[in-house]
Amino acid sequence: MNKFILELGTEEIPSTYIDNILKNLKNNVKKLLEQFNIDYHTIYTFGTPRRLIVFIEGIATQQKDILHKIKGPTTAVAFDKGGRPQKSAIKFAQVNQVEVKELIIEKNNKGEYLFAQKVIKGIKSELLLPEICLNLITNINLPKSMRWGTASIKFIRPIRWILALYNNKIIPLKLDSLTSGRKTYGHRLLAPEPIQVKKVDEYFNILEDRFVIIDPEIRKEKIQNQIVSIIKNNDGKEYIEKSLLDEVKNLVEYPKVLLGEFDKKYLDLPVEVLTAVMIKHQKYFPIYSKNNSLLPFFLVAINGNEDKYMKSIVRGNERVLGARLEDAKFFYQEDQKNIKSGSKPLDNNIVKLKNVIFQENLGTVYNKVERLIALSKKIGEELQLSNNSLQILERAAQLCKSDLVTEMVKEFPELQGVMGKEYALHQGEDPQIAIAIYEHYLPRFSGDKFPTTMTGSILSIADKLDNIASCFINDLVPDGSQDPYALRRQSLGIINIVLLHKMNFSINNIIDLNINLLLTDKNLTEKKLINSKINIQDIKDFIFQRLRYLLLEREYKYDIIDAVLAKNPESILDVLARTEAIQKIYYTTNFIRTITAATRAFNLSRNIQALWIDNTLFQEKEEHYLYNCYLKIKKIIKKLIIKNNYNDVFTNLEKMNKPIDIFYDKVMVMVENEKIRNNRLALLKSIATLYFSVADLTKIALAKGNIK
Amino acid sequence: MNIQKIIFNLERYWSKNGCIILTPYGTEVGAGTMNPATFLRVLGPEPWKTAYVEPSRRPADGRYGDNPNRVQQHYQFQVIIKPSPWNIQDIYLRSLEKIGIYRKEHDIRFMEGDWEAPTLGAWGLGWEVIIDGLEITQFTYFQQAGGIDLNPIPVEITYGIERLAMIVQQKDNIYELFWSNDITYGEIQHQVEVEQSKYNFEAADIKMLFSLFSMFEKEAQQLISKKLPIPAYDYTLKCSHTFNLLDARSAISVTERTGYIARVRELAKKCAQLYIEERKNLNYPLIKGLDDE
Repeated sequence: MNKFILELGTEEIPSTYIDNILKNLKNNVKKLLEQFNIDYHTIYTFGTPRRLIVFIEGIATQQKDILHKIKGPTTAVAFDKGGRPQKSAIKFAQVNQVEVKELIIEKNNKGEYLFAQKVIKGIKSELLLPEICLNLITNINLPKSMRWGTASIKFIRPIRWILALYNNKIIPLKLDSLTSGRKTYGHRLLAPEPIQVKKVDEYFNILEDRFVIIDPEIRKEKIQNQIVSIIKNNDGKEYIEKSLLDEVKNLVEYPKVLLGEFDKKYLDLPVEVLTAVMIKHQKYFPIYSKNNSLLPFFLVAINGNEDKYMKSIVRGNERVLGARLEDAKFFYQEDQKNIKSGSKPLDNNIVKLKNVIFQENLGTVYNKVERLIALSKKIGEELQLSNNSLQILERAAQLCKSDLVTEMVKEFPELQGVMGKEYALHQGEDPQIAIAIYEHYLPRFSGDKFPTTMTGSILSIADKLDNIASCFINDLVPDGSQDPYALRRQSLGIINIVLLHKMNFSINNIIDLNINLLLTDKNLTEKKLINSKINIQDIKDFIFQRLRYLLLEREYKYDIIDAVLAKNPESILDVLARTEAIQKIYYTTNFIRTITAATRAFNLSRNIQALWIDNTLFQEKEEHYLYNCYLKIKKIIKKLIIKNNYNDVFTNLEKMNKPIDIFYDKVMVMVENEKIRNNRLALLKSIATLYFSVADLTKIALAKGNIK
Repeated sequence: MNIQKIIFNLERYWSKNGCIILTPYGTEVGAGTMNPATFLRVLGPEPWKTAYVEPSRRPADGRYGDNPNRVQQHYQFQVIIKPSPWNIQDIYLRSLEKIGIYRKEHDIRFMEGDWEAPTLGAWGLGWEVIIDGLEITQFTYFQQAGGIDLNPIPVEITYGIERLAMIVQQKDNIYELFWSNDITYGEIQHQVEVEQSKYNFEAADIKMLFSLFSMFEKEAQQLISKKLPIPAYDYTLKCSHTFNLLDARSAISVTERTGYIARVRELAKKCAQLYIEERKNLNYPLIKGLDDE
């Protein structure tokens, strides 16, 4: 079986990119081999920080042969009546270097033609591999690329060697000043010397002997197993930080997990601080006890090494972690100076927020906090919170950004919210306020937790909405796939929170207030930075666009969603309630009758302006009957809509189906007499409007006859 | 190994590797990168290899001599090689052996660390070199300086001398490091840190600094107009340091900050453009058919 290996030796590739690069490589190899018509058994891609590897097992010796047909003259011209070949047939065969008797006849819709068949022999794979490899290397999808030395090519980090072997032969490649060969290198620290690889089969053992495990999944497994066994030995909880594991596996070629310790006194720091230092900054795995509290240990996956040096390596890491934790402890104390004698650090920090820019051109976080106080209050009022709850909300809004200027958050920005909560509790705030300060950043990423409390939810919505409105005003509207401020994610955050906690309020009112607050901000008006054309509907449409996707994901029918959104409801929760109500009755006969009646009434009365119905102009008893039904049902429906009870709205609308059918049967609408005619049209229009009080039913696919 | 021995050994090593050994620049800088031996010399096609110590001032990092890790002035050992050689990582790892850090005895990693200096219009890609968990070096392939694409590409290696010494001497406190065998870092630098921190945070005359900034800026501009990029760059550096002092003193509001940075960058860009022109006029004297790769 033929084997091919390509190893691109590089300087250290950032760990977070490697998995994607390998996936991309694999796809590209597959595409190229298909494109070149070369069969293969299996394609593998492997990688470490220092090498990207493509391994093709069972690559065909050559391309598949191609049967090529060349069209010649028509049979009518090529042969005489006796079937003897004529000049044109003989010439055609000659040109294509085949015998006349080898020519075949095929019919198409234009007639019968002669064809010469030629087999194009596939080219040997080893002759095509250089082109395939170069194509591959130059077309890898890289998130960032750079140049080095005098090289004219770009790559994620400098390429230092290329090994390209087909069985035992070098596949010659030239990439800038590099040429391919059979040379590779072992582990940077443990086996740095170059080594010649005679044939592909040797390659894997050579690297393994030289402390390189090329398969990221195997490295991951090794790290995981070592971690688990150390945790067990220390009676800890079997828990491994997944994203860290994925990152660390691509930081090393030969992982070895070591256990280190830190001083117990640092366990007084909040858990989040300890884990931020360990995970984010030092790439260490924390260890938890079986009852979930942190233990004064950490695990570091080093890049292999001899046992005799392990101790000093651990000591080095312990010293660094100790210094970092000492810093953290210092910040923690500094932030809470005099707290025991009644000082309130979060309150003292509010004025310092004047020194923190919220967004270029958009003033400071201090200004933002002022807006958040007003916005969250407005939402709270819409939700009819108690006075006590409103007070808690206001206090939470006032303090929610104060931790941004603490030493701890300046050092560890990812702890925003976490420290705010911690310090709020320490300065004696109501726990609800502390929790809301933490929760107002949630969800921070897709798949993150949501706020659990009403205060936290309201504040989170206000914060996100203000981010969105500010970007709109600052002309930073997301465009295509670009969304640098994550406004789509934040919209989705708002929607999810609203749906989770069933918060029914008019988003229009809040957006309106938000825009007003931004427009009256002197920072903006003086600098004329305002996109004054911005209006409520733009921002609302942007958010509701996410709502539409979310409802589609939850398998609500697109036509129902569009029918509801066409009514431009002001509350997110209301959109869901309306959609749900229709989805429930979608295929029922009654609903189909409702739609038919409604669209007929709508279509007939489409061009009439007036809605004024004069019951003295009614001629027939069916008109009176319908009108009375309408009045009665309208009254009921009005009440039901206020309660968002859309199920009952439809039950009541159905009651109008019969009278309107009778009306259509017995009453001629388009009569000569204009007054009578218009009066009847006005009645129909009013009825259509009533039918459409939940959704624009003309948008329902059933209305267009698409009944499944 | 004491600090001065570390410096001697690095100087000797890099000089053997073809670098000229320069001295710190004569004006305050925030990093060895700002020394014209880096910032200006990386521009244009001429090869360049140098190494030097640079006292680097970051006024806002002052801690009155109380913090075991943070100081308002630390010492960098700066290496610049243009074009970057193919085996530069290996050359670098061998330099560590000269100060007693052997690769087989430690966990040495190259961790992604992109670098950007907004006041210089400069950026590059590379790593933080981490030894047993401690960052000791920034290793960067410069891509742009003064807003200009570089070609060929230089590599910059910046060692934190105190960090190296902390590993080699196994100390947790910067002030306890031995500079020579009988004098500590603290004995030399502690008073400096205390006084300079007081200056940076309390004593600096804000009004004077603001007027100095404008004066330095004007001077740089008029020197640029006279096509004198080297003295103009000196005044750009003075602007930059004055800005850092004002920043440490919290005299510049957040909204103004971006503006000041842009003003310094504007000067640095013009110096860079002009310097390239002037080297071209001189017919690139350092191109002597060197071939290092």
